[in-house]
Amino acid sequence: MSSATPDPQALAAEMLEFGRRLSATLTGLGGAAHARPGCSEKKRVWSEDKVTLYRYEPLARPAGVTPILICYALVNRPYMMDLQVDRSLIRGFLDAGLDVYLIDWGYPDGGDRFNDLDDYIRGYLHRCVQQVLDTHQIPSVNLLGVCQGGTFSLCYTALYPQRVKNLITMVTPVDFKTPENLLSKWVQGLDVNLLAQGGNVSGDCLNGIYLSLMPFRLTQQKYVDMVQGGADQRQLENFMRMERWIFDSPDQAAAALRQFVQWFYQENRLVDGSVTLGGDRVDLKKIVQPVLNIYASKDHLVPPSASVPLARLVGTADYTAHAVEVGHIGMYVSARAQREVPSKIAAWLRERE
Amino acid sequence: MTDTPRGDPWSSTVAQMQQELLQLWLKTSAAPADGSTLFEWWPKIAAMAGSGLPPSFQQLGAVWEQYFNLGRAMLQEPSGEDGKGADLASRARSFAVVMNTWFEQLSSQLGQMANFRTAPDAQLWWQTLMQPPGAWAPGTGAKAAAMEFAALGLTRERQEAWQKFSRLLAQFQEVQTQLAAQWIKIGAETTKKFAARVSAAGPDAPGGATASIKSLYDLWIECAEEVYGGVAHSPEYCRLIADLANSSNAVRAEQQRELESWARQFDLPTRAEVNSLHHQVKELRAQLRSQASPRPPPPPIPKKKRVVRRRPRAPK
Repeated sequence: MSSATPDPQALAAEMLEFGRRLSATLTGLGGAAHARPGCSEKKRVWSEDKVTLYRYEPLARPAGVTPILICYALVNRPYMMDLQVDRSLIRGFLDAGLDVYLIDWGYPDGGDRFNDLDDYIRGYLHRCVQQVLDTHQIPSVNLLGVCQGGTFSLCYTALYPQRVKNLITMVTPVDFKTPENLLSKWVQGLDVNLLAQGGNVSGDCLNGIYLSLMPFRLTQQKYVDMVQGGADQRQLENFMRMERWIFDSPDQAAAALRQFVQWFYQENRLVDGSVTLGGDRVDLKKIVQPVLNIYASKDHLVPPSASVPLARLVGTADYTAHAVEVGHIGMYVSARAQREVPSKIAAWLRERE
Repeated sequence: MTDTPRGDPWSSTVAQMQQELLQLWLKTSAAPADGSTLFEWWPKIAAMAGSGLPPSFQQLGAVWEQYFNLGRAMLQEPSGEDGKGADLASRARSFAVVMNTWFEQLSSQLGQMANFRTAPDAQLWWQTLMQPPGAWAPGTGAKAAAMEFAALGLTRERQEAWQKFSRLLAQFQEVQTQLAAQWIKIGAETTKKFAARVSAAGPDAPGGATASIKSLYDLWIECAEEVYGGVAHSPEYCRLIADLANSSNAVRAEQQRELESWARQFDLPTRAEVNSLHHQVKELRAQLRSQASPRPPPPPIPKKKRVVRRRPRAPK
């Protein structure tokens, strides 16, 4: 057989092995389907409408650091921050002795269709912050904004700088019009009024768009790779937890989504300082407290070029950027992120306490 | 497989077929070049689709079936005249044929995927919402003319609504057609890129880029994503995506308008009425909040105590 000819016997054996693994995978998936996300104990401390504020039970001796409030995105569920014991940034924070609060925005329905960004940022987020301040009798909290929640946190901190001690943004878009941002390019011509007229936008619809960003990897290769992994039950359970999270996307309140797409993606208002909430202009230069900006260097949803410009937009003299060599999802679940991110944040906060 | 099959009946069926596959493999191992028997169990399962197969299996079965088809294409490539197996290039061509079929299927699915809301079937919509049974409806041939003809008479407004809906639907379908053309382009470019990469790499390339079906598959995916990325960023494709969303939203808005009109006729609550109530509730809540006693301002941020280091006094 020439060197340019694949060995048919080897190819046949490969397919045989794939068939064996497929069979084993299908058998194993039945058990893995019941794997539930979430691992750390938490209790509900406040709620309003669909929004709930949770406080996590401590796992270690308190580090003596101001509590940290996590503001997650509206577009996915926040349990990604605490998926399972070995894939949980929150667990990393708890192990470091931090006092952790998390905002769960819930699942908006038709009754929430007129909730706009002002309701979310100056309303719910503000009242969550106030709840933490009241509980601890402190003047300001450490705020960690994740993805879209990071954009919200930037707006909030600019409007209420006295209530935020330190600001951490993670995989957060700031400049929404950079050349690598495919999502941004796609929505430039979107008629947002027509979109909002139809009511809340379904999570399935958003998922379809996210899958369209890398359709071959996300709708095809991923499931072949799953089979290649064979019947390792732990791997299958990991896969199913991720699968559950990816497609567990809340509908988006029509008014808030319309504003978010128009103001941020289409008009890039955060960069030119023309976002206005409740009559007040969001001026990022008013963010003078320490800022830690963590971004993923391989992020296809929020490319680094969307996050990095924060450095020149905020008013603080204490700005730190930290790149993690992972993709967007990897920031939550990769082994690298588990090693780097919680310890980095905890150390950074301790230095500024 | 020696493990006892667990789980649902489908898992058991798959496990049983796997056993059969192994038997077949043992029988045919003397003549491995004929690999067709390797795949007999998979079509059996695929043939049962639609008769109670779990939805996830139906959806992902297409992905795995595609993968098996790749293997089949690679193994069934006819031997050369000298009796040796076909070379890598011809096997890659067989591979590409299978992947192109897949592209065609995927393009129609993904055309819908980027859609914000699925557009309705015009005929069905017309029949269920606009027309009493047996009433006039234009045939396909008369459709274009009917869309432009002046609306007249007692049902004038309904005729106009239908004309508008038909125009919007035609726009939506036109965008879909243009998007499908982009996908054909992506498929063709991917094939070219893939062939070039296979030729450049060869089976002995470092990393075994073409040494196995899986590595070829991965290479194909990589090529497809690269080509897709180039097209997806282009102004034309971005415009099409926005047009697709806008045209489907426009169709839906027109549907909604008609449903509202029907709801009013039957004295059912309409979306407009519910929206009005929502606005009122929101305003009332805002008023209540503003009237509630304002929270005391947050305590001032305590200034850090300045530590004054004093020199120890010299002993007197």
